[in-house]
Amino acid sequence: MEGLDLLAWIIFLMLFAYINRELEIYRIIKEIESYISLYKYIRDKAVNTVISSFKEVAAKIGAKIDTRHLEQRVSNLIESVLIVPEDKDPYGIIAKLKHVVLAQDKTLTLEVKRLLPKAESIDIENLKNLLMAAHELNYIYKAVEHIYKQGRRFKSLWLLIQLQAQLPFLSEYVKALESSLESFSKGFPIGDSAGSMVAALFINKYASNGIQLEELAENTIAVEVPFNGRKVIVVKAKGPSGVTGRLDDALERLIIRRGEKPSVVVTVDASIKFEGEKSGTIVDGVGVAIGGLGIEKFNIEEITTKYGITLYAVLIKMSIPEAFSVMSKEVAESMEKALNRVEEIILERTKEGDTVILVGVGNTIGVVP
Amino acid sequence: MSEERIKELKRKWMMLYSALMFAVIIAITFFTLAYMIDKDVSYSYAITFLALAGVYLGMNLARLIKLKIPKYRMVKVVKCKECGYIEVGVPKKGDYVFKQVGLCPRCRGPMYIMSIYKEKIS
Repeated sequence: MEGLDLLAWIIFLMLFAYINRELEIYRIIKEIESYISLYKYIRDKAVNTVISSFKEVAAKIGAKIDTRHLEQRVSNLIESVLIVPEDKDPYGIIAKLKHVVLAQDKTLTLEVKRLLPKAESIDIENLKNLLMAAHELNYIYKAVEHIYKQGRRFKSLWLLIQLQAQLPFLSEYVKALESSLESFSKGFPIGDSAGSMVAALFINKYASNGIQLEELAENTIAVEVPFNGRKVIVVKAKGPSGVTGRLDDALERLIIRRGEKPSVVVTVDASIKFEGEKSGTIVDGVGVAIGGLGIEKFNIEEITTKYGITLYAVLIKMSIPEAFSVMSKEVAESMEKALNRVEEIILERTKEGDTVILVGVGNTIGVVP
Repeated sequence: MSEERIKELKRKWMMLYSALMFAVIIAITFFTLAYMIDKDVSYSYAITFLALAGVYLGMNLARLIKLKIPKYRMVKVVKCKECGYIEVGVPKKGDYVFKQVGLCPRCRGPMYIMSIYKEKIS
């Protein structure tokens, strides 16, 4: 009888361990499924926002648009892929990457123009931004669903656990992209516009003889501003449409072709904060403050290294969702502090008669000039 | 993220957990009374099991109650360049920073949008 009791206990414990593991897998699956359903919902919302924005622009310019054709085109565009250049031999990879990225941008502009030939450039850029957000959301949804389905197909608990561990970070990014839909459809400044906004504030504060804009590269402007005996050339993307400009091309034109000899280049940009940091915190440093694929960063570093120009950076800290959504109050209130820091850097690290290039980095949506 | 969807899920799960919690409380009361009357030990096992289920449900319910969906309002700050007069309003589509929006009611100077942001409301 005692032997039977022991056997019953062992069976019970084994059953308990098995059920516990199955329950854990079930819980993980349910959690992943709820995230996937949320991602799908957001992806669909993004596609609907793109379609309704196209219709709004069409109504504004008095153009007729075939809804079925529009849906088909939008669906094709969000499924399109960017194939990055081969990097087995990395020599010249940045030039190749820039070529591919510019080709993608040009293609997207042509696609939007094909649907709405008479649309204004502001609307075209905002529609492109919306399309890119929908494209990214679609990719995340599909990639997460792919890993989840593989995990279930191969009954791999570890694959599911790894996916579950990544989901909070992915959700932050999805949340950020979802927030960007509102700003891109309405044309309001986003957190990433902070760098452009500081540059615009500098122009408005010191351009006493009116603002003389010069378009140095596509969607990129420069304004010469006198500041305490120095010549400050402010470079930024051309607002208020949602563009980031070609800042590296603008600097190349200023320094190499025009022969400007700046003593320093100051870049101002939004930066991702640590969890414990407050939004709108201003920090400064040395180097080029530019995110993205690294093309502009590389090219600016190349030029400034060649000509021995010192690089300074001012960063405005914010979370990932804040960087993509309509600018938060904390970030908006830190603009003056960032401007003061830029002024201090120019005054402390240059002397009268020097030339300074101030670069406002980031998407300039909702900010002019 | 997707506030309306999260709100919908929160409502759905709150209702489900509340109903289950209510059922568990009723069952625990029933088994406690049965145990007090019959003095049968097997009722205590049921009470233990139900109490564990109750704790699990209570923890999930508390997590849902704690889940706050933030609300925001959009703000635009319009400032007169001449006298510094400030007006605060709601931005409309097509507004941008440094856009001229009419004249100052105090000095008739040009008014510009100085800032557009979103503010968290409790």
